[in-house]
Amino acid sequence: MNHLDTTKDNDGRDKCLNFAEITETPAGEASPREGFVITFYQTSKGEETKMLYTGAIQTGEAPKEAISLFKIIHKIISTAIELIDEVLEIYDDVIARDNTFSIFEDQIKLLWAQRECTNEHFKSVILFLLIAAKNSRLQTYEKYQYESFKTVLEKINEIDITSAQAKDCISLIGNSGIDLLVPIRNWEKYTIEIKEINGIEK
Amino acid sequence: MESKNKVFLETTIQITRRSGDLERKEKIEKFIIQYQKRITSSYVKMEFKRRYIGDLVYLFNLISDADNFCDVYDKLKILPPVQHRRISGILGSFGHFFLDIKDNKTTQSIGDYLLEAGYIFFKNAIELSWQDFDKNIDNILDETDCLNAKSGPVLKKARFYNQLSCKQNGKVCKMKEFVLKNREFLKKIYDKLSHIENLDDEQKKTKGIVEGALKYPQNMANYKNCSSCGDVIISLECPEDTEIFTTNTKHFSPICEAIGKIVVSGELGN
Repeated sequence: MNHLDTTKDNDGRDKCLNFAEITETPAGEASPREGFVITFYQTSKGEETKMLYTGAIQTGEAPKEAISLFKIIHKIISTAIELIDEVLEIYDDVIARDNTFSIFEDQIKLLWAQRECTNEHFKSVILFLLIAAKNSRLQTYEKYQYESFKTVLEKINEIDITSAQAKDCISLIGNSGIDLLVPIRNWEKYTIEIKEINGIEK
Repeated sequence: MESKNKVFLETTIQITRRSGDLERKEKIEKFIIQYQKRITSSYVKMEFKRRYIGDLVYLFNLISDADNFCDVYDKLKILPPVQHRRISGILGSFGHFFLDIKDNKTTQSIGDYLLEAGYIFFKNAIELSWQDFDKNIDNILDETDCLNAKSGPVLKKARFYNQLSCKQNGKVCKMKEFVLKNREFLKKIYDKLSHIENLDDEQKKTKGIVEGALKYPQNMANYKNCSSCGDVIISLECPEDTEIFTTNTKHFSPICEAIGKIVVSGELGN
């Protein structure tokens, strides 16, 4: 489980809680399961929502105190930046570089997993970082292309980014020559079929 | 390698640069880099908007309206076979790519996940593709003053509008003037097409439109007419010292032969 109480915006889409309205739970309030209970206070409604955070940050080990999702996202971003620094440092060793970059890709997947409480613009950037990370299997990246990942991560560190900031970040990746349309490039090889199973059309 | 002079990127090339597989994309980029200058036109941009952007907008709006992923697929069933093949292929390729990224730990259904990722991906892909049309292009010719190329798709309340209208705020394009200026070349093209046996359906349609344009040039400032003879218009607007780069050599070769233009396919032709 990994969900937050959300309200709807004018378009009927989920609207996220404002992080300013969120306070941390007292330290050490671990859940009986593997995660941690973090208590949120939505001041506009005065309601209390509890969220079970089951994802470990990086190592899978329990942090000593409960932390807010905001901090988790910052931590992942900071780890991802460090990994890109490492990639740049060992750039000439292709195997070591790819191994490190695959850990970076995992961090971006972790960020994507936290998307529920972020705005649409932040989600857009993370989705395109995911595409760019996966695309590294098809395209060998130059140093400056790895650097574009770092620049983007630094720009989204404030999390509550605007539409213009998101566009700027996505363009930055695309302008570095990373193919962001790769998910639909192989369309000639695919089709979609819906098959009837046990008489029920799915 | 000796650098060639100028190349005109026709619509099929501009689309394949974005939607072709990696091999074809790389072939195009390697081919066009041989030229000192890369040219295209506002008319090509209109065709790009109608065809490629149109497909992405169609998919985005389906995804945006859908309550589940099957709804999106069900809507595709109404499409004619060629469009159905293309749109379901795009959707299939997208699904394959994103299912590989899906976090299995979350409780979100695959359908909901694809709708969410699809909404974000196609929204941004439309904007990126429209902006990128001009990428690595030295000059965009605008002899036809195609109004549809002046503005891109517009997002209003989770729906893209990709309108194609030849009359905007009382303005009309310069297609009529373009046809009058190129009347002699149009005659040559008409003669050439008249002497080819076994024209395919599209070529027959083109021939009919050219015939109509010679008689009633004023009718050409009309989206329905001009979009039915795009190959002719593009061949005419390509400058004499410039080679036309296309994957559609079958349709472009006879037209260009009639007016002394050179067609190149970079091993991508049909």
